[in-house]
Amino acid sequence: MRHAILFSGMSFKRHVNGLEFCYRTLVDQLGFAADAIHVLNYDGSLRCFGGTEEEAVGVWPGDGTDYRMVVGAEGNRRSFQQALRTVGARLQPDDQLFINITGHGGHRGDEDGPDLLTYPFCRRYRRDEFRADLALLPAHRSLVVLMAQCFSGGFIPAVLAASPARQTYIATATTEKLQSFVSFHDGNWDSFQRNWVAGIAGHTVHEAFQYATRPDIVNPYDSPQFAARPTCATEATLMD
Amino acid sequence: MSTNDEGIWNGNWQIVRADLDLSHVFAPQDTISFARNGSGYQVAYNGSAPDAKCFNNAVLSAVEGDLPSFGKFHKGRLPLFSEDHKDRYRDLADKLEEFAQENPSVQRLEGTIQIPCHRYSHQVQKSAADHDVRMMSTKIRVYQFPDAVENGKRLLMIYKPLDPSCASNGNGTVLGYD
Repeated sequence: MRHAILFSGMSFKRHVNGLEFCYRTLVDQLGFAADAIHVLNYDGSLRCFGGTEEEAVGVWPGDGTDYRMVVGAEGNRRSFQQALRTVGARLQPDDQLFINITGHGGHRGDEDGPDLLTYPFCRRYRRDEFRADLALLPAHRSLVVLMAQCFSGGFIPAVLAASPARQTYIATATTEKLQSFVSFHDGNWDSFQRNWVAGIAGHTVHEAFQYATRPDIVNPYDSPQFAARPTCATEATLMD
Repeated sequence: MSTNDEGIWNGNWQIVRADLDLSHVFAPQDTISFARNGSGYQVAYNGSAPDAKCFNNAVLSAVEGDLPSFGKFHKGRLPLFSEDHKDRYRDLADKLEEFAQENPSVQRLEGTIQIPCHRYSHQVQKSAADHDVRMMSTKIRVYQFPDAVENGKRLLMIYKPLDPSCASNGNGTVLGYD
């Protein structure tokens, strides 16, 4: 079975849009069961920081239809831990878990590495806390992580160290020390997250990365990274 | 006390720590000062940060509001910054940042500066190797907390809040004292 957690803490509208794009791709293109996808966003709704009530019930800019994902909880550590517990209770040795983190990231500039900025008030979810939470998952076949927040590359060692999966693949929008960006052509999206998700249907996780980093597509100010353990984890797909 | 009281922002403020988002603008050990300019304040930079000229034309306006007690964030005075105390400063930055996000009516200076992004070619994709440095309009808020640091020093906090009009996905905090 395949499971997914889609997470954004202090979301802007573009991050909510990105989660919806990911949700639709998982369900419509890759055949995920809707009830196997846990969506955690901002205050537990479709709202976002700085957004209006109208935007929260508006239409998705991808195709002008209503949002379909159901946000189940707030975008913070407590909700993420709960989602991990729920998934962990169902996770079987041959299962796959896909985690998409987007939204905002911070970095205090020291060896503690980057943080996620979560709801409410940009509360910091530190990298070491994320690593400890992830490590509580039971062993499973495949873990695929897509991160799009600023400084997301700093999470790569933590994810590889914590993952109990036989195969782990992580793709990030940036290195540990650089910021990630909106799509300059269309402010409705974050560039790297949108492009990776656009490239995953029918392809391996690393083909999606290669698509998202094509010179004619990549935001030149992003600095995408990936890591795989073992190397063959690059051949994983999100297909059944 | 009011943000417009004569002299409240006087003095040289030494930067002691900055998040990565802002460390190229506010380099630790550099100093800044605030000079009255009409009804606002202009920032003078006395340091080595490569991108400090982003302040050249910025005028920060004074915003009146509540003045929180520093005791709400830290028991006793903060020691001067050193490697031994950097975790304490980091934890303080966590608390102050949440406070600033949660309480928009606190006394402060605020304005918009232009922060250069990706000045160096190794920070961009090859396709943009001949790019121009991107100047990002960035809102900042400046707070001070009297008698917060050892020897009666005032604590300065510069906060880059989340701003949906900003192209990047982060915020940042700078701490210093006079």
